[in-house]
Amino acid sequence: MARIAAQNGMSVMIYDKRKELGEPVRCGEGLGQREVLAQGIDLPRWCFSTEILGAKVIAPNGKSITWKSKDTKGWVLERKMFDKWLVELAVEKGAKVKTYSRVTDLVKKDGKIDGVMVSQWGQEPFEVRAPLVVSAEGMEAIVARKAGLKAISTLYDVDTCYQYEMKPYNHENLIELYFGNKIAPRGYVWIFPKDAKKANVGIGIGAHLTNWKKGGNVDGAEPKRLLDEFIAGNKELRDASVLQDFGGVISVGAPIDSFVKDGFMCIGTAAKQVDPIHGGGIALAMETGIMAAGIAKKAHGKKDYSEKMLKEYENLWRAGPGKKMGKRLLLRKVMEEVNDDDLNHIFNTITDADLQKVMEGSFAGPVAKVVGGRPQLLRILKALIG
Amino acid sequence: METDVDLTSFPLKKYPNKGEPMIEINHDRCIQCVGCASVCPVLAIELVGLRMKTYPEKCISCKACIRACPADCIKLIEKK
Repeated sequence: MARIAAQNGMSVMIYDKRKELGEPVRCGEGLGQREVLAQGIDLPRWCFSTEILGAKVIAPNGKSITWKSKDTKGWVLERKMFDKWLVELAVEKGAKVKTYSRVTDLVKKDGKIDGVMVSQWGQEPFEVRAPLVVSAEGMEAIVARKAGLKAISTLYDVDTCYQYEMKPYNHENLIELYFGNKIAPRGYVWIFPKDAKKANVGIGIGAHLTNWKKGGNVDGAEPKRLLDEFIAGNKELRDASVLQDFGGVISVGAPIDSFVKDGFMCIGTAAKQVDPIHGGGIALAMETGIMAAGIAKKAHGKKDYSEKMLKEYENLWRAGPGKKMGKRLLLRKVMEEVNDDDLNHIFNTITDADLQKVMEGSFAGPVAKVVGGRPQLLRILKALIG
Repeated sequence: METDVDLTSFPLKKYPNKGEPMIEINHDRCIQCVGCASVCPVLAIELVGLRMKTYPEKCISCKACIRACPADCIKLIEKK
């Protein structure tokens, strides 16, 4: 958004509270090619680790479906480089950036947002006036919440994730997704291939689950333990080295109720614009940034940064990516009811073409196939064809 | 003081806290993923610099941060 807003002649300042852009990485680092190329962006080689040719989806019983098409191509990024590159693109178009600068609060005039308070290098905050403040803060969304947006996540609607970068791992340039209620309850284990026989090996599980006693005898969700179990049971990974530990919490629920206020916009993961099935948010955030930049340009031209004006971005989003996300959220909630035996049946029944249909939101055909072989599943799956 | 908080309710119910720490973060184990801050209903945790900072006076001991933390680095402080 910063790049396009600057390109459109707006004065743009990016405040990033990290000392170094892109650090720490809290991401599986996967990105689909289709969305990026559609935006006319050519990813430089040093921003990604390897290309992805497709996906292999694995059932609890080990049966797998390999899905390769032009729509499944992508990259496993080096987020540290990729994030910095995106900001550099914005700088090249005239945006300014300050790192190690934390927005501590909003400034208001006549009850409306009119700027921010910024603390640079841990020092006393100072005021910066601006007619439009944009939150692209990621999951923390502190400023968005201070603006009055309901950007908090509930435990049920987030997955808690742990990940290792490991080496060596022989792969076929496919992302591998392992499903199963014992392996990764309300989530999945992923292996994302990287260059030089490396891989990101991670897990996401529902944060509302209680599979372990955590600090102070609290029943909570412990993803690392399940990931370690998975790795111990994998012939190749069990002897691999760990190059990096990382993790995070990601929204897998609905986007927040409202994305805008007078003088304020919330975009990307901060607005919980994240795919509920796979937890991916980079492509969505980039697409949203373009939409938001377009409306910001209109607002700038009319000198009208009211909620009513900015709402057009939200309306565009809900009519477009929002609809697709809605179907994915429905799919996620339905699949939560499916046990491992039924999951095995589903994998035995559907093909990669069916998987493509499901990911595009066309459920009827695949559901009919699955239910044909196991009618009792209609009780759960009928919500998809309702 | 232990409380049950319906994290789906809005605005959230708050309970009095005299500013005593309710949770303790092991910063050696913390991976600064801000998962705790993401689920805290009262903005009692925030990433400041390279460490998670807590605001005990805001904490309502709902334990969401402990439950969500992927690194299991947050502990509930037991009141004697």
